Amino acid sequence: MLEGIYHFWFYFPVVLVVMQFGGGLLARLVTRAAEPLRDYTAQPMVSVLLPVYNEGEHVMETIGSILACDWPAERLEIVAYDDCSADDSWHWLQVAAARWPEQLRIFRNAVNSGKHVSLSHALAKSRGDVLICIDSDCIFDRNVVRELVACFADPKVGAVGGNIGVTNVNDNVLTIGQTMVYYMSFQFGKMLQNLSGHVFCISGCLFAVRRELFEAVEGEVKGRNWFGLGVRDGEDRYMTHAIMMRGWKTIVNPHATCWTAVPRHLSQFFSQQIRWRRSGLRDLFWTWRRMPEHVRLIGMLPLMAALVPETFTMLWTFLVIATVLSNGVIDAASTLIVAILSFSGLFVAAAVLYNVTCTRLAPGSTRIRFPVLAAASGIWFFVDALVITLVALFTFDVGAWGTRDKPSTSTDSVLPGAPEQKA
Amino acid sequence: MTPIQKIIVTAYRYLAIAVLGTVLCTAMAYAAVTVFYVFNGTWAAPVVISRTNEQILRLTAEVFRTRQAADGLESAWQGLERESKALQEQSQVLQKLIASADHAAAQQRQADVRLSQKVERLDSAKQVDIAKTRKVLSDVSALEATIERDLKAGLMTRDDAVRMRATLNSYKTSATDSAAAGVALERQLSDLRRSAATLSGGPAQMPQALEVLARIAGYRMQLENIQLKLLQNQQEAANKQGEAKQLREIIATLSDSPYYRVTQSDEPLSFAFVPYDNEAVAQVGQPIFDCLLHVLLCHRVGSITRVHSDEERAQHPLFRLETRGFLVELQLDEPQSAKSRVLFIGRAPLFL
Repeated sequence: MLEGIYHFWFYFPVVLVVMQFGGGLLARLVTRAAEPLRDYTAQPMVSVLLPVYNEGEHVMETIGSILACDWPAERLEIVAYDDCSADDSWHWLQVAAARWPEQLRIFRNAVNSGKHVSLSHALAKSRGDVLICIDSDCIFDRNVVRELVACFADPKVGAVGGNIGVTNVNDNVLTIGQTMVYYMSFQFGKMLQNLSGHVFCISGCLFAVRRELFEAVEGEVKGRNWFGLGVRDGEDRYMTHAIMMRGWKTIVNPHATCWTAVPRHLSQFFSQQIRWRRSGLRDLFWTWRRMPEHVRLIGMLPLMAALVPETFTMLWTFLVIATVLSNGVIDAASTLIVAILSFSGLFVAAAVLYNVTCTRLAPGSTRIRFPVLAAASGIWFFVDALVITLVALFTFDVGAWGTRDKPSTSTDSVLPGAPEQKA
Repeated sequence: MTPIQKIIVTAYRYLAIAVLGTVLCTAMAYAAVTVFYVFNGTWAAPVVISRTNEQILRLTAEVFRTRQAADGLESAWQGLERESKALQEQSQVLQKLIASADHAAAQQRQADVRLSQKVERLDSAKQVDIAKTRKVLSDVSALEATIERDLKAGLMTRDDAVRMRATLNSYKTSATDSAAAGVALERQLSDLRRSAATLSGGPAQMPQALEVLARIAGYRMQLENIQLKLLQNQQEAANKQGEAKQLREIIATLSDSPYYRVTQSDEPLSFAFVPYDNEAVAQVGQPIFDCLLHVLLCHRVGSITRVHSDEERAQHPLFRLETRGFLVELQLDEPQSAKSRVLFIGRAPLFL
C-alpha cells in the first residue's frame, strides 16, 4: 500500500501532464476553446508597447514585423522603451525611428528599471485603445494584431494572449524541448482554461489588453513588493491574474502567433526557468491567500485546474527531498529514473504530435528534425522539479531580467537627473 | 521597508543561504563521496550478526541435523565393520572346515581304495579257502559215512564216534563261518569301492559318502553366502564412510560459517562485508581503519582475523545497491567501530 502511494507520487507529475495537455487536446478537438468569439470589423487604435533590453540589431526585425502586420498603419503605433541596454540596442532603435518616424516612438529609461517599469512608461506615452505588450525579440505574424484585437469583440474579454512559436527549433536538445513545451502549452495546455475564460498566465511575449484595464492594474503591477522589496519579474502573470480578479475574461487566441528564439544555452534557460517559477510561486501564494475571492470570481473547477499543478510542483520538490533523505539517493533515483523515462516517452510522443500538427495549427512552424531527441528533455524534469523550484523558492528577494546580460553602467547615454530620454 | 519587513527579509535571506548552501554542500559532498567509492578498493561494511538472526537459527538446525546424520552413518558404518569382522572369522572357520572336510574325504577315499585292495586280496584268499573248505567238507561227508559204518561195525567206540562227529561238525560250522566271512568281505569290498567312487566325484553309490559330500557342499554354500554378505557389508560400509566423511566436511564448512561461529563463541564476534572488488586487500592480519564522516580522520581500530569464503550479498553503504562479496572476521580494539557504516582495510583512505 505504502509502496503504491510512494510510486504514485512519483508518477503523479506524468499524470498531471497527461491530464493537462491531453485534456487540452480533447477540449480543442470537441469544443470551440481554440475559436474564441472574434470580430474583424472593429479597428481600434493599437499601441504596441516594446520594452527593449540588450536586443541589439534584432530589434529592427521585431519592429519591421509589427509594422508589416495586416492592420491599418494609421491605427498602429509602436512605443519602444530601452531599459539601459548594455549593447547597441538604443542605436538600432534610433535607426528604426529614423526609418519609421510616423509609427515608431522611442524612449529610454534613466536607469535600468525592469520590464514592467518600461511597460508602464510606454503606457504613458501610448495612444492606443488596445495595447499589445511584447518582448523585444518577438517577430509578429502578419495577422497577429488582427487576431488579437478581434477577440475584444467579446465585451467581457480583458486580455488576450497568443501563440508563441519558436524560431530556433533545431538548435539543440534544449530548444527542441522548449519548442514542444511552448507548443503544447499554447495550443493545448491553455485550452481548458480558455473554455472558462480564465487563463491564469498570458505570456508577456504577446499580451493584448484593453487600455483602461492596463491603466487600472499598472500601478498595482508597478507597486508589487515582497516584504518591501520591489518585484520585477512575472508582470505578465500578475497582470493576467489582476485583470481576472477584476471580473474580466483572460483568453488565448492560438491563431495569433508571434515568434521568438528560446534560450539555447543552459545558463540562460536555467535563469529564465527560475524567473518563471518564482513568479509562478508568487502567484500561487497570492492565490491561496485570497482563496475565497478566487472561488467566488473564478469558480472551484477552473481554480483547481490551475492551482493543483502549481501546488503539486512545489510539494513535489519536498517530496523528492524527503524521499532522498529517508530512502537514499539510489532508491529515490531508481524510481525517479523510471518516472523520467515515462516523461521522456511523453516528450517524444509530444514531439511527434508537434511535427504532425504544427504546420496546420501554427503555420510557419519548423518541424523537429529528430523527435527522438526530445526524450532528453525528460531529464530536465528532475532538474526543474527539484532545483528550479527550490532555488526559486529561496530567491524571492532577487529581481532581474533573467535571460539578459547586466544593464549598461555607462552614463554617457543617460542624462543625469533626467527620468528618461527620448530620441 | 518597515523594520518588520527588514527583519523578515533578512531572516529569509539567511534561511535561503542556509537551505541552498546545505543543498549545494550536500550535493557536492555526495558527488565527492560517489567519486571516492568508484575509485576506492579498500572499503568494507561492518556487519553485526545478532544471535537471533534467522540465518543462525537455520544454520544451527542444519548443523544439528547434519551432525545427527553423520553420527548415524558412522554408527551404521561401525556396525557393518563389526559384522564384517565376524563374517570374516566365520568365513575363515568355514574355509578351514571345508579344507578339513575335503582333506578328510580325500583321505577317506584313499583309505577306501587301499582297504578295498586289501579286502580284495583277502577276499580272493578267502574264496580259495572256502573252495578248499568245501572240498574238505565233501571229504568230511564221506568220513561221516565211514564213522557210521565203523561204529556199526564196532570198529570204534561210540565216544570216538561222537568226538569224531563233533569234530566233523565243527569243521562244517567253520566252513559255514568261513563262507559267511567271505560274504562279509565281499560286502565290505563293495562298500569300500562304492565309497571311493562316490568320494572321487563319480555317480553317487554310497549314501554315507554322499552325505559327506553334501555336508561339504553345505559348508561351501555357507561360505559363499558369508563372503557375499561380507562384500555387501564392505561396500555399504565404504559408502557410509564416504557419506559420513562428506557430512563431516559439510559440518566443518557450516561450522566455519560466521553465522554459526557467532553461536559458538563466548565473546561477541565482529564481521565486515567485503565486496569482491576489494578481495585483494582482504587478508588475515590486515589492519582495519575507522573514519569520521566516512573518509576523514581515520585511525586503526583492529585487524582481520579470518576470511570467510561463503558468498554474501549486502547493500553498498552509499549506493544502496545489492553487492556481492564475502565476510571477514575482525578483531576490533574499539567495539563501537562495528556499528560504523564503513571501515577501510590496509590503510586509511586518502591517507588521512
